[in-house]
Amino acid sequence: MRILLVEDHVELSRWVARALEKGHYTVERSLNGVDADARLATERYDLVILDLSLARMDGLEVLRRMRARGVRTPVLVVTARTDVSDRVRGLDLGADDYLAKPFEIDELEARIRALLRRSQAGGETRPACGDLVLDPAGRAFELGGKRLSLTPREFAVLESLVLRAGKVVAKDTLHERLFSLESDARADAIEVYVHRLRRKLAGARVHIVTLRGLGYLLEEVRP
Amino acid sequence: MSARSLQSRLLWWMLPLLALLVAVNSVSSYRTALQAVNTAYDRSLLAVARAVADRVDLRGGQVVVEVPYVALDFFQSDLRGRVYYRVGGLDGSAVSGYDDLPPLPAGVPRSEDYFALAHFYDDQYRGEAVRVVALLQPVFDDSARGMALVQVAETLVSREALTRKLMIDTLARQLLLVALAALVIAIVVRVAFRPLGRLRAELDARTAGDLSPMDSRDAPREVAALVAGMNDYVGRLRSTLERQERFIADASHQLRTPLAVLRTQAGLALREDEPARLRETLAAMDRSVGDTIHLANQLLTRARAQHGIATPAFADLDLAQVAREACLDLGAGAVAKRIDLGFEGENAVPVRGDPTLMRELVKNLVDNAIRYTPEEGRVSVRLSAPGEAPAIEVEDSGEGVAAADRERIFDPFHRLASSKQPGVGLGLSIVRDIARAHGAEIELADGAGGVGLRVRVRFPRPAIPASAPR
Repeated sequence: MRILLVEDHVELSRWVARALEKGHYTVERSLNGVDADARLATERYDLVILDLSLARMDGLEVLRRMRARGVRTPVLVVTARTDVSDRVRGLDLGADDYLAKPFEIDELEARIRALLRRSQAGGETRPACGDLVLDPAGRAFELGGKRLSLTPREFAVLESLVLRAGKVVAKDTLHERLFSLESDARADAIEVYVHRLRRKLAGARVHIVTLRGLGYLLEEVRP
Repeated sequence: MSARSLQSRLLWWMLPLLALLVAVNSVSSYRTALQAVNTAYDRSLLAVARAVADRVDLRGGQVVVEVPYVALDFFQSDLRGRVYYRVGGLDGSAVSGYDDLPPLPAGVPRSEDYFALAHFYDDQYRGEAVRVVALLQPVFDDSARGMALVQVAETLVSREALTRKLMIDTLARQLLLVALAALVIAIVVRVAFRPLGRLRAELDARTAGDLSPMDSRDAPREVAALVAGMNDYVGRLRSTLERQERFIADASHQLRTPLAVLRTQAGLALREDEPARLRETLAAMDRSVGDTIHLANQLLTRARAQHGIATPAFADLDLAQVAREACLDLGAGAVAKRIDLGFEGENAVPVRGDPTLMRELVKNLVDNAIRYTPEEGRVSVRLSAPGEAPAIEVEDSGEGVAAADRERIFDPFHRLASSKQPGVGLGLSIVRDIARAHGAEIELADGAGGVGLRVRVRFPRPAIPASAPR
């Protein structure tokens, strides 16, 4: 796997490259925007890690020119800028993911894996958490390789949770998803489905955490 | 002098008004002078008429006159105009002089200024405007008595010349007056504004860092008020700057501490040969870096909050909604520490506030609670019930804060000596600054059963729109 790392801070670039090489990626380093633009025009990479604040050519400009040439290589934007508008512009210009500096190397590798998986699957992703995997074709869940039998509403709840695994999904969001057409559904009806899902996930490497009054979170069970 | 300076403004206002006053005065004094001129000329005209009338006699029923040409000539040369006369007999027919001089028109009143039966009027003769005096002179002899009419007319050349001269004189004098007045005003204004100039010079001479109060002892009352206002403002600026400087000094110190720890750990790691202990040191270094990152983020958050406080954009908000969103964002962090995070606020809590600052306030409150609550602990976020003053309450099951320390935990970088949790002590200072900007009050209390800390931020009730039903 060939990665182009565009980062103008020499030390950060060197250490990130070393960390990624340890993970068996081939990393080419580019230290400014013009150089990155030239490389992207001639070479082929499996993934680009792009800093936005670059010397000589802004990262967003590098991204724009690359996409204008029709290069579909996945781009992971990395920046110390905290402006939401920058992030939105980056995503608008065709960035595939966004990571704020300073980041942990584990997080970076996880994002890289996800992006590579997505680009190799032809844009399809298989959302997963622990040993729970959502099969994109069959609209079904597999738990530890075995198909999980769920009612449509249980499926809808679990799908919402797995798509935002590790983050809190608001009760209201789930409620709207399930009962958008039934105005008289009780507010605590969700709890019934969560309770049933917990029984079906018993013993698995994932579990559903309740946050009182807020919602639910799907999490990999920690050892 | 710029067009907007006070001095030119004063001049621009005073000069036209002065000019108007002078113009009114010119017109009235010109009129008075004109009247005096006319009176004087009329008197001379009457004198000539009398000289002629003195020589009028009645002989055998016929009016005869021996015209005193010397008087006429003298008068004529004096006037530089032409003089005509006519003497009419008892029946009105011309006896002497210019026969065709028009007769006395009916309705010309007798002049009140003289005892003589004199009438003054304006008329036309030989295509020229003339001023005429008509004097009725009683004549008599043994057989008859009656009135002879003596008319003397003069052309207006001399009167007009004098009038013109008077007008020019008046105008010249008044213009000179205006010019002198403008000069006086300019000088007076300049002198009056001198204290302002001195003030500016003093300000110009100051260095950018000089924030000492200015001396207003010798300044006039108006300028002294200005100086006092400026000194007050500079005083506030100075205390803000001092606070900022103190904060920057504190912040640098706070940044150096984790960096010093990190360097020590790195030095230790370099000397470590045993892989297991090396890993242990590296893990500690990773935690130090985490602390430093948190500090940098908090400093950035505080800078943004300060900026927001300086330029707040108030709107009607639902505090419960803001709090719910903040809790959803922070929920993952609570779960990672196995903290039971709960939210109690089903109803909308309307408040008036800046959306960004409000979110920052709630986030810092909740984040602080999660940070200082040990693993497996409990954090509850509660909103006020409908009808109560809008408030948010965050209660944790951490180690709590002793009553004596409660005031100081809001100071920047203040951390409890007993605290073992990583943190920088900026969260609550940000909360306090934002609360102040919203007129909110912060109350601290023990958590339920004397465990942990309960922070309550109470906001003023939003003004109820006049149209809303109660």
